[in-house]
Amino acid sequence: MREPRRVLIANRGEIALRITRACRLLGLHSIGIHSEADASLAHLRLVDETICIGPAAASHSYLDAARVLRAAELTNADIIHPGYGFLSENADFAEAVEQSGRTLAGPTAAIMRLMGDKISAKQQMRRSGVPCLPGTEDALPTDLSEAQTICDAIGYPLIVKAAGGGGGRGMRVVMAAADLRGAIETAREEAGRAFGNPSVYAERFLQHPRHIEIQVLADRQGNAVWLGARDCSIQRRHQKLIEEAPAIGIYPQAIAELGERCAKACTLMGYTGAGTFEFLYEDGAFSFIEMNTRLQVEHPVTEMTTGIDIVREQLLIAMGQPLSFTQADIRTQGHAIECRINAEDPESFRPAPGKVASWRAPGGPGVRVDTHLYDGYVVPPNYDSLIAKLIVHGTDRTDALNRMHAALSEMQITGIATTTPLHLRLMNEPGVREGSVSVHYLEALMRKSTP
Amino acid sequence: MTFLEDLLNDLPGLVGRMRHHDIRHVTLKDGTSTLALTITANPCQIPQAQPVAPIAKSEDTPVLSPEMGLFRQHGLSDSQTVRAGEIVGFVEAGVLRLAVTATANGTLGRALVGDGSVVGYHDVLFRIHPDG
Repeated sequence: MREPRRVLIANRGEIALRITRACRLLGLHSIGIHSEADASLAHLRLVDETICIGPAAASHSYLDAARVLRAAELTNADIIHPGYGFLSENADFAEAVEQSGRTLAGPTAAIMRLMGDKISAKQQMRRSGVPCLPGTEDALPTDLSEAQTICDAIGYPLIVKAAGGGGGRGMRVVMAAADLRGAIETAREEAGRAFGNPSVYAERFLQHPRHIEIQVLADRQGNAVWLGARDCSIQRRHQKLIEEAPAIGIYPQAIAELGERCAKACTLMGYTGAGTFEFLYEDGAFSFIEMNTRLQVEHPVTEMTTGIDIVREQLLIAMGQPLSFTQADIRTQGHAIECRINAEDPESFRPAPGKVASWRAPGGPGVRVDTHLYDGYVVPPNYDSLIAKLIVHGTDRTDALNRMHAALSEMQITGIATTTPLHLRLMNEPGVREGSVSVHYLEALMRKSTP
Repeated sequence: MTFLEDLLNDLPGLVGRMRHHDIRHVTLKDGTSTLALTITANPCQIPQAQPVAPIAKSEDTPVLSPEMGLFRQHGLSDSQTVRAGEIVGFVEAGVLRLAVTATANGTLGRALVGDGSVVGYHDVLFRIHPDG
């Protein structure tokens, strides 16, 4: 069998360019796909082949598994790199790729399914010794005193949630043991009315958690390593805005122990490729939220602190090669921060697509820009508003913050609104300077500044 | 290229100004690229040109691939006269064999891609030069 060398990049924008660069680095034949609205994407000038797969609507192009697979067949691709978003965590797509005799740069469809279901993922984590939120695995018993005993054991505050629910209905936060019975009764009633299923379950409620995540890489030979932790607590509506590595104010030994458990979990389940274990961190304890079975937007901060090219490793793993380093070889150095530059109004966050009149990239030591921007590029209204990632690497966190401030001031994007002014402001906020803020920090700050 | 691409992006504006000043024909050169525009008596029915479509003479009507797939010739010779709606080729998209039909009456130019070539969605396959 010939060596797999033809890589189809099943994505767009900055990440398609990032993957193209890794392909070129490895001397692989790269194939760029695009929608009709995206013929002017930057990476399409660098790839070896391009093909327009469909109209602008993502549902008929980047999200259409059949079209992406047909493009892979027509271009004889061996490997499909899905990037992030779109089809990257779609188990049915992964299965179809496997059945077509191709390799997805990621885990198998079976693993994707296992991690895609929150209950099965949590059970798998418990089996592997990865810490989870304390809570019931099944529904709470209807007998209230029995339920009280179980919940007292979980501890307060806790949250009572509808087993069949979602969208905030049938959900009650219980601050103290005395409030439990009333909360269960209302939640049950609401759940019964809203979902036709009155069963509820309980889990520990964290009030001011930080978002901490562990990057892993696992090859097809059963080797798995972790590449340090990232702190992605600066979020708005669950969308990360600023990410950094390492996570400050947490004992390195605690992170190392968590990392070891994540790597072990990968080996146990047969995980392959790059992945991220996401946790909430509060009062010295980590609680697993979910695993992302793909490359993440914020992977560059880990690349900057470890010196490991994660996308290159993903491709090598997909080609069947074993990891060229072990856990003992991995060192993290300095501090890295990433700001997501979105084509959005910095106050209202309304998407602001349009023509980039001019683009000036910042530079200097420790400055990296991952972007598909160029002068005259038109940001289409059809997709995600991420247009650039500004990443800096400093000797320590303060140095990194200063470098980020300087780089943000130097960067110029004219013609469209971007989130740059918000980032500039944040670099001087006491909470950001100090660090270790919770996931609610940014929203609270925005509320304060817009009366 | 950027100069002409910019113009193409603003084609409606440019055409509007040409009509306003009663200019019938414009030829613009930038390096090796040329953009030639001719205003017809009636606003034409051709599909809106895509922002980065190859620069073409505006009087020719492009015939686009209906899908991503493999192009198949239909045994038509160059310079053959075709009527709008007439089958001029096929695109095999998976199990489907989709007809490529003429978008105008006129003279069919040579196929821009070879038989069996991979074509993308809405790639230009032919140009039709109008009669007269």
